[in-house]
Order: sequence, then structure tokens, then C-alpha cells
Amino acid sequence: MSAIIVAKDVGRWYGEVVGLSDLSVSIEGGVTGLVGPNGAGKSTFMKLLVGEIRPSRGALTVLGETPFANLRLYRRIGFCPQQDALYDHMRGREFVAALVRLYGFSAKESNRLAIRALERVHLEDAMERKVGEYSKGMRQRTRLAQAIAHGPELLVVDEPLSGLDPVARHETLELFKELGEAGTHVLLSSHVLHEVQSLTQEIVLIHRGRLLAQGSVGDVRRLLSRHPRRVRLTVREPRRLAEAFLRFDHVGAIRFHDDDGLDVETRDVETFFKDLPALATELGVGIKSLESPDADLEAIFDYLVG
Amino acid sequence: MIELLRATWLLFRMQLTMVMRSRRMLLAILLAAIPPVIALIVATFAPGDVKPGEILASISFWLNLQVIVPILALVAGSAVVTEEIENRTITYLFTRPIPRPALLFGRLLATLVLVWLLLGSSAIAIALAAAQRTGELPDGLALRVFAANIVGGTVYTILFATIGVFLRHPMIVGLGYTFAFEMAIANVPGGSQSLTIQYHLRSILVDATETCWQSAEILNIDSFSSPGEALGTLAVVAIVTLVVGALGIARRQYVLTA
Amino acid sequence: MKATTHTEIYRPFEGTLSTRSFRFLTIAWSGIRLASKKKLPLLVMLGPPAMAAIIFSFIVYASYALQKGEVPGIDAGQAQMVLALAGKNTEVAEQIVSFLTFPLVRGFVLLTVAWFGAGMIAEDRRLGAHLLYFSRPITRLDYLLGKFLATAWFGCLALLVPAIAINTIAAFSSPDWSYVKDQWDVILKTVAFSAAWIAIITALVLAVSSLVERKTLALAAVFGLVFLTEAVSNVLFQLTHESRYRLLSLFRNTDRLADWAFARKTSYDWAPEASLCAVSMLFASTLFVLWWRLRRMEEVA
Repeated sequence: MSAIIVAKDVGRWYGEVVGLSDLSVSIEGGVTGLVGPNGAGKSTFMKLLVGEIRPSRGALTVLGETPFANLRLYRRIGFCPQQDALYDHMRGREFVAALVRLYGFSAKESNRLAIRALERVHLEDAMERKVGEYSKGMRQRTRLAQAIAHGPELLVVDEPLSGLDPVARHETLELFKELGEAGTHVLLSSHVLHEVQSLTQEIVLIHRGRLLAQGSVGDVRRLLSRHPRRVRLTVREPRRLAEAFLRFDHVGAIRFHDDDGLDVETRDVETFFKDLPALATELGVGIKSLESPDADLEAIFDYLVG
Repeated sequence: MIELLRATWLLFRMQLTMVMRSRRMLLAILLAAIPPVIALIVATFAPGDVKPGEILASISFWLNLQVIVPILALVAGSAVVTEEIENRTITYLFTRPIPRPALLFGRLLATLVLVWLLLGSSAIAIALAAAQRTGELPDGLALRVFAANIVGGTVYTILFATIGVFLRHPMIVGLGYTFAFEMAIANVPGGSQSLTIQYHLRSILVDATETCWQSAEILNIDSFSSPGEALGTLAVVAIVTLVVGALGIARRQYVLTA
Repeated sequence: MKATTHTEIYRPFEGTLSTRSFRFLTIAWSGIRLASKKKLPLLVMLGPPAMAAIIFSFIVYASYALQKGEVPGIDAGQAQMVLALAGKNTEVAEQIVSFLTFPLVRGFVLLTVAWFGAGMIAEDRRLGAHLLYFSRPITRLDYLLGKFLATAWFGCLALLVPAIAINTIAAFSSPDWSYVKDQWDVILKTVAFSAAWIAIITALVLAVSSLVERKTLALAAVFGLVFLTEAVSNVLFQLTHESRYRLLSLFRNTDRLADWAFARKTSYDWAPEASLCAVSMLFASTLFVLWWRLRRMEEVA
């Protein structure tokens, strides 16, 4: 798949404050999570992508176009900003329809698209109410509706899950999945890592304005060889299994917990997982559960951000 | 070009409904209502020798032109772009496929409609209030007052809207311009007066040959230019300011803060 | 999941809870510190009154020095120029009242107080900081006094400090401390007049600030109000020739009160009590607005 977003040595600073520093990244289509702690530069990157601001240095293209004030590009993208700002005196439908009209649709068509988008974010019951009366979650969903209403090729969403209750979060994540499956490219930023991971394995991790990691969560974890991977097992006879593990060179440390728990640290997780079934069968130790707690995005994030 | 016109029209309609429901509108109505109320008070309580022309001339010159028109234009004009920035809603418009100057033109046009409506009605109401007195209004005076109000409102609104394109606090700069620069320069005898908008508006308003202006205690009454010349100069100022504003908004980046 | 508690990490409080008196001073101090962070506006706004104070101080000094014939290196022409600058009357009280009512000084004092005071309550409301204030043991009066003192502080820097400086120069320049001995009442009047003027415009600015949610709007409203009342009073006076309409103007009233307080010859034809009444009404109504708005803010909090 070809890259939809290409940034080369992109830097952006606000006076003396550095927003992004020499960021070079190439993002392919599909659903991608832009992750990083608060103040990492996620929002700055997104603002650059949608042409709200220009890079102070470097080059950036989105869908092959330079973003700033590019009307051709704006027809193809949708942006859901982070800030809780709407035209409060308007009704939900009016708000979305008014913004959709700016794409060149007729009043009737804009209205139809606005209603459809509001239905997709489950706001059909509230769309005739004034936006100023909406709850925080409803406002967030309205922002999302205005971004998807015109059917963009690329959806850029800044912290879309903040302010949503668990049900709305689930529905929103489902919506992104649907959009992704329908061929829309989605780039969403978040610092709630497990939610990003539940949606996509493709991540771009930035910290202090710099690119820290990029790729699938598993691939990134594999690259972090200096951090041994922890595997947590629950077995019937943990001590026998631990004794057997000590024969492996790649096993660095073993810890027992509770009566039947065992934490193993390995420097070669692939070999470990290849050898484990045979070993367990041979010893008859009865593995009850197996998990790798530091293979998730949260652990990678902790390793990289420190 | 068609895109620009279409977007301007859409944003004009959006802004018109917005501005009608805003608190600024309420403030603007209150401001525009002050001169007619004063005119009515004077028409009722002034001594018998005060003629309707003198009431209209004095109120238009000292109150309307120097205070009400600039303040009302400042309240309305400084919000044209700044309101979108302060409310952080400019993102929605700048990520739509519309030429950026349409934002300035559309919102400015809606604001101008409001300014024309208020200042125009204010001028008419002052004339009507003054006409309560016995005696006739001098020929063309009401028209001059109306024209000065409308032209003044237009030029000042465009100026303050354009300042808002470039500066974060156009209201403060506008206050400084109106009450420090203009008040100082426009009242100093000499050629420097023509550097102010006030001077040209006064030229539209004042007809030195009319007796009603004699009692208004206006300094340098003979130094004003002709109304036609003043109108031409103000038209150039307005167009140049508008073009500068359009170019500015097309290129400027707005960093939105919480 | 195994439930745990972590109460053991907290040390139980030992001692007595006490509330600090003069809590408004904390609010005032934080307001002053916050507003003083930007040095450029402070410099720009305090510069012109300071320069005016230097000029008036020089005139006062020169007047005394000339009286004593103690200005070395100054020739007759220069002496005449100094006396011309001082006006016909070289009385110190005359110079001080001229300084206090000098249009440039008056304008910049208003600008300074408006600039630093416009956001005091408006920004608290916009950012919701009043919710934090009123969720603490702070009364409305504490809050009001805190904001008032913070705003008035800048007014004092612009007016009271330069006025005292002129008095100090007069005291040191006068022969045998005659200024302090014979004209001590001028010093008291200077302080009282400056304090009253600062208090009035501070209350006005804060009242406007409590009505809007943005500093810039408050700033525009203060200037709009002052210039509008000035223009209205002028027009009404011009057309009706009735001087009572001039009581609408804040500046005319303070001029009249200054004439009265410093026993200066006045050009106004109304009694000082009328101006006193007008200014008191303005002050009372600003305090009423402030009290009403703060009550609303407290109720919301």
C-alpha cells in the first residue's frame, strides 16, 4: 500500500516552544493510531496534516498534496478537532448541514448527509436540539459527524474518545472500524493506549515532538530487544517447569507468584513460544494460562517514553 | 471566483443568523439608540432658540461621528474574524474547500448589514427627533447625516475587521486608534487631519455654508474637503484595507489556544 | 481483583486548623504578580505619568530655587522660560493640582487601571477560576477587596506615587521645610484626591469587568462609557446651555472637585457638592453592580 501521509524532517515551533522536531514519517492507508503522552506533538502534527498551520521547516504531503489552504485536499479529508468548540446557537443538524454545504452540496443534499452522519454517531434523537444544550459526549459526537458527513477518503481525528462514556466509546470505535473496512483511511490520536490497540495494531508513537516508533505493535515490541519480554504462566507444577526453563540460554530470570504462577523473562520470545508446547507436554506440567503482559502498547509506551 | 462568491454567500447567511442572536447585537442596538434618545431630550428641553438643524448637526458631529460610529464599528468589526479564533471554530471553516478570504468577506458583509441597519436607523431617528422642534431642517442635512453614518460605519468596520485578521486583540488596537490617534490628529489644525477617517467623514457631514454648523463650535470648519473627494478617499481606504485583509487571511496561520 | 486500601501512607493530621486573616491580601498579591508578569505594558503605561511627574517636579524645584536665587548656570531667559512653564502662579498646590488633572496623566491613569483591572473578574469568570475561589473559605468581601487592591495598586503607581514624588521634591526644595510646615494640608489633599480618583475608576473598571467575560470587551466598555458620557454631556451642554448636564462627565466632575479641594479658581459654575453627589452616585452604583455580580458568581460556585 502506498503512503497517504509523508512527512520529511518536519519541524514546527511556536515561538520558543517546539511542537514538532524533525519528524520524518510515512503513514500507509488503513486505520492508524497516533499515540504519545500529552504535549508530545500529536495535535500539532494533526493541525499540520489538515493545513490549519504550516510546518516551520521540512515537507509534508497528505494524499499527495501539500495541505495548507489546499481546497482540492480539503474535499478529500475530514477533520475532527480536539477543542470542544461548536456553534452553540445552532441545532445539531443545522450545524453539520451548514458545514457540509461548504463542500458544494445543495441544501437538500447537505441536510440528507448531515442526518445520515448524525445517525451514524447515534445522535438522531438529539439532532433538532441546540448544540449548546448537548452534553460533552454529544458534542464530541457532533464534531465527529461533521468530519464524516461528506464521505472523506482520509479522516483525521484528534482525541476522539475523550469525554465519551464507555458505551459511546465502544460505538465510536466500532464506527472507526466500519469506516476502515469501507476503505476510509483513519488517523486518530489518543493517549488512551488500550483503546487504540483495540482498534488497530498500526501505530505512530511520538514524544517531545519526535518520532519514537512506528509500525505494528508486535513489530515495535520485537525491536525493543534490550528489554527482555515477560511471559506470565499459570501451571500446575511451576517449579518443575522453572527448572526446565533454566536450561535455555535466552531465559534471563524467573519469578514465582501465588501458588501456581510463574513469570519468565526471555530475550528471544519467538524461540520461547516455539519450544514451550513440547516442553510442557514432555514434563506434563499442565499450563492453565499464558499471557505476555509487556507486549501490549502500554508496555511499549512505558519502555520508549520511560 | 464562483467558489469565492458561493462560499461568501453561505458564510454571510451563517453569520447573519449568528450575529442576530449575539450579545454584541444587543450592545450595538443600545449604542445606536443613544443619539436618538439624546436628540429627543434636547428637542424637548432645549431653549426655544435652538433650531432642529442645530440639534441634528451637533449630535451627529460630536456624538455620532466621533463616538457612536467608531465604537459600534469596533464592537461589530473586531468580532468578524476574532470571534471565530477566540471560539476556536475557525478550524471548521479553514478545513473546508472554500477560499479563505470568503470567511472575511462573508462574515464582514453580514456585520456590515447589521451596522448599516443600526446606524442608518439611528440617523433617521435623530432627524425625526430633531424635527419635533418647530422650524425646518436645512436641505440635505439629514441625507448628509445618513451618508456619514453609513460610510463611517462601513470604513471603520472594514478597518477593525482587517486589524482582527492580523492581531489577536483588535479591540485594544481599535480603541487606541479611535480614542488616541484619531482624536488627537483629527483635532489638530493642519494637513495631518486628512490622515484620519474622521476628517473625511466630517467632510461628508459638514456643510460650512449652512448656519446650523456655526453653533456647533467646530474647529477648522473651513478646512474640510468636498463630500465627493472625501467619499472617493474613503472608498479607496476601504478597498485597500479589504484587499490587505483578504491577502492576510489567505496566508495567516491561526494558532488556537485554550 | 484483590481490594487494597492505602490509608497507611497518609499521616493523620495533628494540630489545629486555623484560617488566615486578611485573606484578601493573598488574592491581591497574586493579582498583582500575575498582572506584573508582562513588563512592557507596565512600562508603556507608567512612562507618560512618570515623565509628567518629572516635568512638574522640575517646575516645583525650579520655582523654589528661583525664589531663593539658587539656580547656578541659569540665565534670565531660562529662568523666564521656567516661570512660563510654571504658569503665572508658582504655588506648589497649583502645580500639583495641574498634575492631577493634566489630561495626559488622567488618560494614562484610566488606561492603566482599565488595562490591569479589565480582566480581573472577567477572566476569572471566563476560565471558571471564581469556582475555585468560592469553593474555599473566601467571602465575597475578601474576593472583592483582593481584586480591588490589585487593580488600585496599578492606579497608585500611575498617579499616587508620582504625585507624592512631586510633594517630596517640594518638601526638599522649600526653604526651611516651609512646604511641610505651612502647606502640609496639600500633601494630605494630594493623597486623598489621588486615592479617591483611583478608587472610583477602580470600582468602575471592576464593575464592568464583572459584567463581561473577556478582558478586551471590558476594556472597550470602560472607554466607551467614559467617552460616551463625556460626549453626551458636551452635546447636551452645548445645545441647552445648562451646566447640570456636565455632571454626566466623570472628568468634569473630578476637575470641579480638584478646584474645590485645592482652592483653585474654577471655570465651572456649579457647586462642588453637585459633583461630589454625582461621583458618589457613580461609585455607589458600581459597588452595587459589583456586589450583585459577585453574589451571582458565588451562587453559581
